[in-house]
Amino acid sequence: MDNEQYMKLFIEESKEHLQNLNNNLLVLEQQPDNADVINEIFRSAHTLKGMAGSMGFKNMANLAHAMENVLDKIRKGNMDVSADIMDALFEALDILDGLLQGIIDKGMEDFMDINDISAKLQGLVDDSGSKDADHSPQKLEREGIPLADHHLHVMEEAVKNGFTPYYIEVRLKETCLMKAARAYIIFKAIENFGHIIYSNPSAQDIEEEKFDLSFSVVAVCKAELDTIKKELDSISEIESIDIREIHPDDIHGHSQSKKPQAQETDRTAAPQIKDKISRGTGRSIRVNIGRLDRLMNLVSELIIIKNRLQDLQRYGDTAVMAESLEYLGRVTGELHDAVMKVRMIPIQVVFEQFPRTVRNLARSTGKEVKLNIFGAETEVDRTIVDEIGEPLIHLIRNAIDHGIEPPQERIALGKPSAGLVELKAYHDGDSVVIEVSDDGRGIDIDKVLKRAIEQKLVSREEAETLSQQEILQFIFEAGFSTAEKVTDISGRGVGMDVVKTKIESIGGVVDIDSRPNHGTRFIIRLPLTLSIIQALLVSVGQEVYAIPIGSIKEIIEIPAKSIKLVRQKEFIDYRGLLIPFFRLAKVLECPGEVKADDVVTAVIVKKGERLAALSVDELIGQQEIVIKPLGKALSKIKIVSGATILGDGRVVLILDVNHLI
Amino acid sequence: MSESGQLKQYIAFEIDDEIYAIDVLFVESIERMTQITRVPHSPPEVLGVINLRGDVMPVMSARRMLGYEEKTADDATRIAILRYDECRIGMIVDRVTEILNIPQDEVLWGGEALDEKRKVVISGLINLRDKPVMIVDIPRTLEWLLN
Repeated sequence: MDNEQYMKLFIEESKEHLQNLNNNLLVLEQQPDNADVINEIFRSAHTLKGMAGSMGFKNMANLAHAMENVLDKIRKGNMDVSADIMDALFEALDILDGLLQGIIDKGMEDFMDINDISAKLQGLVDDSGSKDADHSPQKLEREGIPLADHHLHVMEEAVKNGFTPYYIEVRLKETCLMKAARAYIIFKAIENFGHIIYSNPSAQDIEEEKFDLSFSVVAVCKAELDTIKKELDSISEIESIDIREIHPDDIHGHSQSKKPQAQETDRTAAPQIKDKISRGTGRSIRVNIGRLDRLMNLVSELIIIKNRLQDLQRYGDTAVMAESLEYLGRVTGELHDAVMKVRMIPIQVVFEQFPRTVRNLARSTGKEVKLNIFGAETEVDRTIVDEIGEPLIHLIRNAIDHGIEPPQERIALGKPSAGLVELKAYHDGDSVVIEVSDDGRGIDIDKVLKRAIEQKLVSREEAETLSQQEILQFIFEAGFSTAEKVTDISGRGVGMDVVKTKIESIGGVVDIDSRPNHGTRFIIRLPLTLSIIQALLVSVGQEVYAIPIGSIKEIIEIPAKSIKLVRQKEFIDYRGLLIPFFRLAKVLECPGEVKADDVVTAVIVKKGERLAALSVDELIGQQEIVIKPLGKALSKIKIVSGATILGDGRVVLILDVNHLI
Repeated sequence: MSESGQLKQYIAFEIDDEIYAIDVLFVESIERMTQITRVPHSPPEVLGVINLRGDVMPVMSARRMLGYEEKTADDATRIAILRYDECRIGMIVDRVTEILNIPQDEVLWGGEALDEKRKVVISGLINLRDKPVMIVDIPRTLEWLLN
């Protein structure tokens, strides 16, 4: 095994261990006395330390070691699990994650500062009760600023380029309401003059308001000290500002002489490694051996049948021919199924990151949120796993930020103080359904409609004819938001359109179900497979089109007289439901005259919960088709999702029902 | 050889009696005319898609793009398969005539005399045996088509 392969193995396994740590820490938070979980966490940290150490990733190894020490103490019963400990462990986990990401991207560890977190963890071991004074800002000031080598490096470079390094310590007024926001303003003000290269606490902690009243930054600026001071003085809610120019001897880093050189050589070596790794990681899946065996068997069956067909050529027996063809058809069908299954992985890999997301969001919004996950074992195509994470996170954020009410409000409404977010996955026929629901305040339909009219998405007259479903669909329009205040998490009016676009790009649809005060449910329906589908071939004028079977509900014949005209749009009565009727020849701008028969063949198609009827001239039949892209030059055409090639070589377009209706 | 005198290869094709040329680097292959499936809602220059050895490939009409009248395909009609960046597209031309080796300093800019439609896609002129040859700029053509 060469180095590259070790590296791949290391990355894959580290990912698993980090995910394990994450899951188990979440369990530990709920069940602080669960000895099994503690042991499990300890083992993961220990293995991680060993692996990182043997690959020479010192930061990772040291940090894992520091975690291990804390866990060991808990394991031996010398320390109780507290919120502080959990926070420190989670913080360490995030840093480990960052380090691993750096290794994946660059083939080497980032020069991340792990001193803070190591000290924090060590502090917990030394004395879990008392606050460790080791890294309070006052002390740092006295002893100089603990900058890592890369900070010094940046600073040196900056000085060469005419920047001046400053140490700025800011103390906010105790009355300051939004410390994080205030800090952000100060950061922005400083960044007008140059760059911030270090902050204590870290920028992320400050963003999450994990600091007392004061924080300090090191920045390289091109402005005079007085100019900066004057600018910062103009910001309100600040108690005091201390700005000093940094002199070289003011800084104590680690060994300054030798390391930068070593880093230089590392850097030149890095790009090569990166190329190698990025090819190998992330796109691999583990496959159950039984599935591979099945695949192998099917391929051997195909070879047998190929030989049989070759023999037939010689004798020309049509009965045996038909039989063999049937056999061939069955084998290729099963082969397709088997290959598809190899690509399938449980949606677990996407879902398992959410408990953590929910925990963080609940904390930052001050709400109580419980997350229930059902059907994590549901298997979906690899491509879906890669793409679905982002839209789901967005929906979860929305649920917590807009859906779930603050605890007091919930109690006043007679709901339990903790909100419930549910994530559900299950198979339904040829599709996979993923639901994200909450028991929060629901979507205010009137407000959505009002906003839609304001933003001219719909006219006042049209608005009256819209169904509840249709109104709810407006939230997927670009730039649409009903949130009155913009929060950090969501409400900027971006996002829902991205969610919809993303889901549609993998062939899915989203539906919304919402009831005031009962909550909101997003229902995402995705195809099981993305490359081969069953389709109905239909003729429209001189042309042939394919309609995916998955989006067809029924095929009916209706008398032409029964088509109703409402506001220049055609509708038909389908089982007591008035559904829109589209003449495909017209929608597809088919050349030639439109047929006018007494009886019309209509394909009833569904888009999520919505139905529509498409008129076709003739039904040709059902066929398994391979989806091929239309090419970049035609990627803007929405009503066609791709094309397929028939047995006779003809190209047939596949209609995208989602965009037709 | 100096930079300006460097030879560049072009594929020459005809529409009616006029000659055009495409930088050979953008041409993947030259195919015979085949059945085209119309694609609804596509730009007018794009006639549809063809089956190119199992791949689905959009094709556009050089006639429509350069502002000529329609003409039915015949035995001489060819599809030049073009590739630029990630975009692949076929271009239908009346006939492909020859491969030209042109020194770069013989390429002139005479675009002022062209009509609006051709100004967009023609990037130079060559004099070949006293006849003008217009060079079709493929990157510009495809960018124009995509937008």
